[in-house]
Amino acid sequence: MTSVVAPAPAAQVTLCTFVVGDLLLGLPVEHVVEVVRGERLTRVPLAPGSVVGLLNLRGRIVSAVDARVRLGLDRRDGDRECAHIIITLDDEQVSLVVDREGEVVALESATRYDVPETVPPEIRRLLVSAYRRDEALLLVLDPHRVLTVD
Amino acid sequence: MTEDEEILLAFLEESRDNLDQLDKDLVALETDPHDVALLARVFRVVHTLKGTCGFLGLPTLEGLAHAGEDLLGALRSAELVLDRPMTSSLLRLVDAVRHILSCIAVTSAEPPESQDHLVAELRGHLSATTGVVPHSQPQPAPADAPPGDERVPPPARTADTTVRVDVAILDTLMDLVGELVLVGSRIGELAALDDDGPLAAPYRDLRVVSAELQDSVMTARLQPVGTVTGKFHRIARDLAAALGKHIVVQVEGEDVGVDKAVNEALRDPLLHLVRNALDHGIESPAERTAAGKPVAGHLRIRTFHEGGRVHLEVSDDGRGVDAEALVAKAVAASLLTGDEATRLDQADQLALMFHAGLSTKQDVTSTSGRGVGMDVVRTSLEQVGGSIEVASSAGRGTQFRLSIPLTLAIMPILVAWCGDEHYAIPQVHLREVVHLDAESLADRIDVVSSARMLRLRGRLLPLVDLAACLGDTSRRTDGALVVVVLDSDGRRFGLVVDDVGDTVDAVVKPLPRRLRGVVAYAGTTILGDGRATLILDVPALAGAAGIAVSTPEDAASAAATTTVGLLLATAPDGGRLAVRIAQVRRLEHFAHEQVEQMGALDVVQYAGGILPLVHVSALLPERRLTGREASGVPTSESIAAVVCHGAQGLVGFVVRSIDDVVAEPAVPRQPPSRPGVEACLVVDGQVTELLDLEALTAAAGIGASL
Repeated sequence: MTSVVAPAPAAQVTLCTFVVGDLLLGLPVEHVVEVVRGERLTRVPLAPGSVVGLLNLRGRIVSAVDARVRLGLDRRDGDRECAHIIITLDDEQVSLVVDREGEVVALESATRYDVPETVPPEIRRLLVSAYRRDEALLLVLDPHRVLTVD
Repeated sequence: MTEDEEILLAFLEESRDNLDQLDKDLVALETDPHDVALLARVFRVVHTLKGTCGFLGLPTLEGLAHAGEDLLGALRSAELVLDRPMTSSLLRLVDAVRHILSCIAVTSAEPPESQDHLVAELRGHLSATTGVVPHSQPQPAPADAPPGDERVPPPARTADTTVRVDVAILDTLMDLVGELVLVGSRIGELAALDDDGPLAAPYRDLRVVSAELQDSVMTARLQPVGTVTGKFHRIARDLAAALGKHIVVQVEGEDVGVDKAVNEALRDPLLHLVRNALDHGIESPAERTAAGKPVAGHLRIRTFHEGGRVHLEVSDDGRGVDAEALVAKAVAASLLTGDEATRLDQADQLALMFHAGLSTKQDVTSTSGRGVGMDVVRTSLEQVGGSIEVASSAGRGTQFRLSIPLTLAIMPILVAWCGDEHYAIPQVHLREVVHLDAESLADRIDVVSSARMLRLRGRLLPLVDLAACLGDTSRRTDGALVVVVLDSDGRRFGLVVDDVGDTVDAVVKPLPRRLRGVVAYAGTTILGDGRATLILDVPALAGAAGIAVSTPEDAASAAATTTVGLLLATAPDGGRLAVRIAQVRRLEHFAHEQVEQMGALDVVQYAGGILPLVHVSALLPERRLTGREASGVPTSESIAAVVCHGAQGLVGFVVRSIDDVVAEPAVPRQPPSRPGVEACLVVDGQVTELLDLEALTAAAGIGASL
């Protein structure tokens, strides 16, 4: 399938990367507003399972979606350190709660892979592509799918 | 956007404002046709409209405006005097222009339908009264008028000093100012560490400036209430004409600023009140003359600020509300017992009109009077934190007083703790807060199977546990409770929380989209410590907990949705019984040894007196026993009794068990199955007999001697 990758000269993608469990994940930077840490969350009883709470982002109330729950991992332990990847989606800001933020990387489109078949389906359905990054595989999330809350 | 499109857009916006002003001015002119200045202003607006339409190539509009201009020209030169039919034609012209403009706004073209009939109607006024051939030459504009012509007043609104701003920008400003205040208080904490330090003075300044900024941004969100109340000149005139009544409308305080959302929330309630005033309140000219009143009825809408709220008064000098008729209807509809009715004062009697399904007008008219309405007015005002009161005096008139918050963006709330989280309760629902320590809990709370009831000043108040509602298990367990007594659409209940804090003014923000489906919350806010906080949706909580709340839709659908609270119990023979909560004083358990005989009666000593016991099953005759019931009644250790307040004092009705508290529609119901039963209901799919306590008391032979 390498033939479908556009061979344009400036074919680079810039990804904001982060870690959830033992997965290295990324989102296109154009969706990411900022990354914040150590924000106090307000719990929301009765909310869908993946919404872990609300945070006050400089006067804006933002819902926090737990990436662990969306990826089919154990729900986050409340005291555990985390980072909020703030994403703008449909004119609203949402936080994707991850274990640890990574760096912002620029990657050649040529190093893009299709998502390997070995990735479990509950994770696969949230992904758009994958890149080889040193020794690890960098999985690129679809912002809409990962922030969908049932 | 091309230049033409820009011109068209500017024309549409400007015209909308002008048309609203025309409505007002024409109605005013009808009252005083000789107001030259006003006539000149109307003429000028129509003249300008005609000119612009010619320029933009809108022939239908231009033709209409031309016909209107001719008629106004004849009026201005005193060839004609404005009368009612002419005013009606000119108002129809305004409507037609408005309609055409709204079509242009969507399709950028005039609608195909012809306006020839209206043009002919306008010209007809010219030829019919004077026989003068209508002007075919355009009238000169006032600006071109020869010297000595009357002075033309400037348009009512000056566009130069105002800008149109998207509300979203103002909302963002509000958010930022709110955050600025919070950052300020963090700096304040640092400044407080050292009173004479370098931060102290700048912090004081920061506080003053941010408070002023907050006020200014708030003011920027306000729009004049006149955008709503000002429309009633025209609406009332048309209504009065349709009803064949004469009316003078007086609108005061049109420039009072209110939040846009409040303005929108006011429109329908006001329309309803004005319709009612014209239809039911103000009498026909003949009746008024007979009563020695001026022929023209007077309607007054007054708006003013007071105590941080907006107050509106809608008053008429009509016949007033017949409070006795209201009470009679309420009794007929079983909303009140005759006994309760006699205890109402006049204000309470009048307040009955806000009850679903009561309307004093017997016949339905096209204007109003369908037996629903005032309750919808009350409910929709309450939804925006408002209230309504009524005063009336027979033959002299009626006055409604509305009070609403200045803005919906700021709401007074009570902070309540539940588990390790805190929540905001809108103060508009708050009635009182009751603190219960662990000792008084058992004494004051009756547990009726799943439902808990608090005894509060002789009444039973259903309790809703916030922690249970929210599925929260982090509750503190030292036993003490706080009950927040809330009122939702006239239904009262107690919300059980761990503790309450202060009442504060909170800036209301919408729920994030991903939480919109969760019914328990109405919005969010940020409290002084900077934490995001959920605002509880009180009607939704009451609904989820099974405490019936009548919604406007329910109320509109039928009077049948009036609900009554019922206490469900199992009779000693196994049948299901119900007693109205309003009649229940307490739920008690007595040991068998406590029961004594007094004549033919079983009695217990109770509350310093003697409580007669009524064995319900013994008094209900002719009930066939089913297998289950015939198998025998298990002998329990104590006797459960529902203590009710009857005409003869307290009476205890003995039942096998007290099961539940529910809210049921007052109707439909089946006729009584047997004596001692007031009606049969189906509750949760089970046939339930609603006891006729008076009849049972009498049947038991309990007399006034007790």
